[in-house]
Amino acid sequence: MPHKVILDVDTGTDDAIALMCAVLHPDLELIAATTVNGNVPVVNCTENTLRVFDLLGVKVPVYEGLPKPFVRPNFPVPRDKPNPAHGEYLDLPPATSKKQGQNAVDFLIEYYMGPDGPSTTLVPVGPLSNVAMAIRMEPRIVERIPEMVIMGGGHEHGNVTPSAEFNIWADPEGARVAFLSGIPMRVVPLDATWAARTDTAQVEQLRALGTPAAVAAAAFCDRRIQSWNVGATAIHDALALCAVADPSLLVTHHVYADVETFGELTVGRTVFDTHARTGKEPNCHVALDADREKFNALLRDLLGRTA
Amino acid sequence: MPQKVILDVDTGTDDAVALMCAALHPDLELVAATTVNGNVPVRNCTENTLRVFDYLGLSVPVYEGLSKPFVRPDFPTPRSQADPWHGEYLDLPAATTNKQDQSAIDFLVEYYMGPDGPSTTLVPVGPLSNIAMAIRMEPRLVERIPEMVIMGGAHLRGNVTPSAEFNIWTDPEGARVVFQSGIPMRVATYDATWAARTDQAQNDLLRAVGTPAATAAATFCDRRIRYNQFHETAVNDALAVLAIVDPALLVTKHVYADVETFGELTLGRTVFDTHGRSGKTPNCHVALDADRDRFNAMLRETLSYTV
Repeated sequence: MPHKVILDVDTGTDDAIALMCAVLHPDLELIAATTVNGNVPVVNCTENTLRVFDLLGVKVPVYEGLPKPFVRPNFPVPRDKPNPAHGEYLDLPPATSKKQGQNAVDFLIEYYMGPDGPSTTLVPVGPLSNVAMAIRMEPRIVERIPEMVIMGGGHEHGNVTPSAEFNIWADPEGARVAFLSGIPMRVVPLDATWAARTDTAQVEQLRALGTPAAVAAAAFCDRRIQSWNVGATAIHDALALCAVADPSLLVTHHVYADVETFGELTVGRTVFDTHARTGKEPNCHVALDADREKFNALLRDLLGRTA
Repeated sequence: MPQKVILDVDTGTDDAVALMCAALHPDLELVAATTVNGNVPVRNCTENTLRVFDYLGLSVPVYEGLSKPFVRPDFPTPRSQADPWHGEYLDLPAATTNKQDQSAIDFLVEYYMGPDGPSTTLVPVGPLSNIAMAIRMEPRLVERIPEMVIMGGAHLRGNVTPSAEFNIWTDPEGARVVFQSGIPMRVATYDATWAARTDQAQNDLLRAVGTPAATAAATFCDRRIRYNQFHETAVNDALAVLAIVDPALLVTKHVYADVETFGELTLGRTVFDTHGRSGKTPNCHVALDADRDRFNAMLRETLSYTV
């Protein structure tokens, strides 16, 4: 029986690939997608998520979540223009399907308090605003979510600042609530996603598969590679999603993890206690490395399929 | 002609090894030592430093510096007991010589404004309180110090907290003043000093050298190895000193560096912009790796000399 997952996304080019992998993965059943302000404003995230499902011709319910971080009125530094790695909207036809009437936070609570909650992995790959809200709205949810596989954080380097990765930096307080919640979690930071990067040759292999998913994913990768100009891209969110079905993609360490919410230079930094300086009990399996070849082969396998 | 150096120390077992290296290496001329509150209270640092010079039969002037950090009334978490790595005093006979009357700050200002300043490398291997004070007392100092080789900071792992290394954590504001001063600097982080660590076998080789310096250093390292969870020790401060003679000991990157002074979890973290996220001009050659065998061999060679 496939493993149930809910993706919390800020779609986003790499979220789009994660969504397609979740839909097409034979070992996963994508129950729903919830959207959150992040790579693009939440309204755009919702539209983009619907576009992806329409492209694949699948009906997965989409619930729109928070338009702002959990505490702050905006990101630590507000967005001034669209991020070129994502654009304003995904380069796909406008969605014809609609989001659900219920909001993402209410949906998460209702779902996880219901019968299928304890067998459904939550995969947050955007800022953790929705997840923090759900935890504070219904504290019992921490006993109901069996595991979170989170894409977020950076140990050796950040991508927004030298210290911080976007998803965590965009909502440090929300991330802290999620990290300290006690929900079992695997965290996939930049260290792992860049270790599993996809280069231009691998993108061409993907495109050559010719399926709608592979062609769209290759186009998203083109945009990402172009915006960074390093000849490769990390498809962050897809790695986290794929690790639900195949944990061996990640090289993890069991550590105590927390999020800096006050630093001047370090706000939004994930602090992984890799050498046990705090004396605190590990609360997180953090991936600081990943299997690049295996991940790229898996991407081709999944995106070569049709729904 | 040997390179002139001034060591700013919080002696301390690894400072003691660094002092012996600076005093004994034929390519270095140790002009003076200045002491600062750190591994032990500043008075103990001064006494320990005098003990090292007495033990070797050297008369190097010792100037006592600050008894507290630059801004804070104490360390972020005050010292509760003697650090077992250093003890209250070094295990050497009590000093018979005396410190100089002039304060370390006044000495540093006078010396560096004098004729030999621009040809003397400053090697701060303790908290940066004295250096920050000197810079604020005499701003022209920044044009007079040709280079600092600092032992401090950490990138992938701290030693006091997951984020911070002791020398920087103990005086974050002092460290920030120094890092932002514009004085050319190389920084040997805990990442580098741990990479160049000394294990029991290497320490036994050191002891077998049989000179007073090697014997004392091996005794200090025994203490450090005993209290280390992996039964190895970084001889932090000695790496910074020997890197002046042999820069190839360190694997450096030219980056922008700053110090976090506000973080709740990350206070005293050195932020090295290893991936150019800040867009700021590099101000630091940071060593995140070092040549372990070369360092240990050089340690044995240097400590084989007698006065």
